[in-house]
Amino acid sequence: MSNLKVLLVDDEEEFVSALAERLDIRGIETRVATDGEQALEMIETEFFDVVVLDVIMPGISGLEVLQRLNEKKTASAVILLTGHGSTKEGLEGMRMGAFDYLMKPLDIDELIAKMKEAASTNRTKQE
Amino acid sequence: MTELQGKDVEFFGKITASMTHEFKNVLAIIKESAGLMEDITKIAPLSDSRHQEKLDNALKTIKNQLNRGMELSTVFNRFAHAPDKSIAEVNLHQLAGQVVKLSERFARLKRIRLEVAPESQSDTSLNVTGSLVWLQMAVYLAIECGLNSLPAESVITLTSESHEGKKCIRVQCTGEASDPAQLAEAFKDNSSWVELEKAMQALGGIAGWLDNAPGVRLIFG
Repeated sequence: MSNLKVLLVDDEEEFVSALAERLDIRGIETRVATDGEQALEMIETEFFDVVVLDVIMPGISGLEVLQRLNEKKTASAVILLTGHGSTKEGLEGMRMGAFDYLMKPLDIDELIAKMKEAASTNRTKQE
Repeated sequence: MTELQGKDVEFFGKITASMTHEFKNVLAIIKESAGLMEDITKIAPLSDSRHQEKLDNALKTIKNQLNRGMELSTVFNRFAHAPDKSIAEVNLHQLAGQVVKLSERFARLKRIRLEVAPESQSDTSLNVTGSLVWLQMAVYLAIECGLNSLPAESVITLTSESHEGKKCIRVQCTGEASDPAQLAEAFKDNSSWVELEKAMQALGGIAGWLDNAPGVRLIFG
């Protein structure tokens, strides 16, 4: 599990920082971005096995970030975070190549299982 | 409903839905922060076991209330999105469950229990088409008639069913006031009953009395 390197992208700073700490405790190397622009900059310079991306953010939306990652052919797997009313965006994101989507508030065990599955599927695809 | 009134409902729904999204973000932050506290106390428990027990109990309470908040937020969000489409298809069992959740506080204040009967296997595709706002309002008004007419400790059970080829929600009351004729009179004395009849008419259906049982059947056609 400690092989996993993850980028959490969400404009709710307290949410991502607490979640990052929890993932760190579980041995998952976690970085945080609080908007789409910052996330894209970080992905330019670092590789992440999984990018966990909130769909609705100020500035560049999660789906736009996903679109740009597709254009750059970034190898990271993407998991989207959606709210009650944004399931439609979650499904749209999956059509665009996201591995899956999860609803907030999250269950941390479900998130970790999904991240491991996404990274493993992605590695198999790359090979 | 006039076009302007329709816009009112649409506006109200849009703002309410947006606020429920914000509420969900608040819950997500509380959940992760409480989870982090729990993680830390597992790694380094407090030296006084009594304090640890109190902390564990407080975290358990936060978790339970978070689950309650999430459930309320989901139901409320669905309610707020009801005006998104003027006409939508809805499953009657799900409609009954949604309105029961929305009405639970009113029922609790009257000490009346609301229940949704399990969906029967033969009635799993009881879908109707109409305004989601009006459909929810009709089911709510039927419940409200019961809440205004029944004594405490009564039970109101909603069942989606097919009756004489029509798609229906059966609203049956059990408890002390279980005489069908007397209960029908009490229902009719309610201002909610008049509103219910109007709502059902607007939906192209009717509200009728149950045969030999206390309660009402909403017949959607």
